[in-house]
Amino acid sequence: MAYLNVLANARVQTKIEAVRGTAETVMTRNLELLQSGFSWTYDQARSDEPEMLGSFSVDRDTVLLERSCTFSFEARLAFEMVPWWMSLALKGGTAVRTGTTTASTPPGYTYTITPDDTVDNLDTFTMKAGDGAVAYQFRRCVITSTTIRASFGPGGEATWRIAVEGRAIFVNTTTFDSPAAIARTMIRSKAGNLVFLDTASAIGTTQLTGKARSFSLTIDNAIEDKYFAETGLDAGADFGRGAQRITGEVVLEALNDNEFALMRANTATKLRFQNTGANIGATPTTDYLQQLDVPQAKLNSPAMGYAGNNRIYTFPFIGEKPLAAQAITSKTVTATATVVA
Amino acid sequence: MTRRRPTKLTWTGDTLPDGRPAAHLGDYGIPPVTIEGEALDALSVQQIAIARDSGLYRVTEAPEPKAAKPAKPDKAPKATPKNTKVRDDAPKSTYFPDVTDTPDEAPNGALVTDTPVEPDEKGG
Repeated sequence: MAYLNVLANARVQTKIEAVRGTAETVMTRNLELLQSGFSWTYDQARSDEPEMLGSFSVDRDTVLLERSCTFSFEARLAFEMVPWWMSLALKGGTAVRTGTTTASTPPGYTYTITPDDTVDNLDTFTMKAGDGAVAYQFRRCVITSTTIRASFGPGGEATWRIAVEGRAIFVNTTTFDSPAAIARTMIRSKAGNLVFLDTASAIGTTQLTGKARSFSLTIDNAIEDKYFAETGLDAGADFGRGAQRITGEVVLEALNDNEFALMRANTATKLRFQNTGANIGATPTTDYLQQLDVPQAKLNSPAMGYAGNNRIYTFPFIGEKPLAAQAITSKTVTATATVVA
Repeated sequence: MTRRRPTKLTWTGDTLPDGRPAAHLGDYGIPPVTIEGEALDALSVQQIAIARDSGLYRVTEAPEPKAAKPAKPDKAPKATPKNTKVRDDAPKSTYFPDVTDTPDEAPNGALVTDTPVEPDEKGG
């Protein structure tokens, strides 16, 4: 009999939960993660304090403590997947996964996602993960941190990437479902990218020309499991959500002192990372689009180095919350009206 | 009951402006087109089940074959008695059984009955 516990058979199926922590039965999508881009842990310690048993043996009647699971994903990023990921990382709900028509012909659909900073409405999902030999089910999978990155230089990654870390509640062994594959349009790292940095002007006005080499942006929600008397071994269906922090890094060619001067003066900047893809429709012209906006970014002190022959600045930045606005907005345009949960 | 094989799977999935299906079952060997005839015969039972559940196809089935009419059965007397009402004095729960009818027990374990036992004439 063939061995089924092979990497080629590995898969992860998911569905966003209608009720946080209540496992969904039938999964609706395969997550097309990188083959080396999925791992999970099952953490359950054993209490084994040595006891005085009157012999050199000290362990008897040891007991297991509470258990928790963590997981990590890495995937190539497609326009169609961004609203799905963002409903887990920024703001949940069906409305987030429903696009607004651009009224072009054929139509495109816009998904604009801005977090609520006073409401904990992050979505959670149920996951079935395993291979041809055994599969396990998890519920209340919640994403603690999400990093989106792109490298515009030669070689390396051809698409934007997303890396995710999360926490889950273990359910049991399970069997896989047969969800439909969902069309993906990749966000390319080597075509259609623009990085904007504005100070006084509106976001998306001033392009960093001949400067931007790569960027990464991290959304951290500082999720924490909670255990109660009635929950027993596993964490409660809800979780403790911490403060959301937006941080990132942008690598710029050191052509002049402009950005370093902004950092030294503690000037608020407006950062936009943008990719425009293929055309969807006309009147108005509608293209595949991804914009990640940080409307009040503060650059931190740069690390100076070389990339090949050229000197570069690697600027870490933090996304502050502007007055009467949010620290981050994601805008996506695709050709599909809704995103499957 | 086993479901019969469909006669046609009509593709109803959305198609993107660039011609790609928005969702498809290509990973399971099921093409995103209307399937009938030999192509349909070539699909396994499992593939058809996946197609049914996906919502991406409209399933057409052959009409039910007309079953022969069963002969009218003779009128049989009703087996169920007309009055099936539960008596009011029936015990309501088995958890607390009605113990009033059980015979009393003497301290020595013998049963106490209402009928006096005649003394053995020979005994004394």
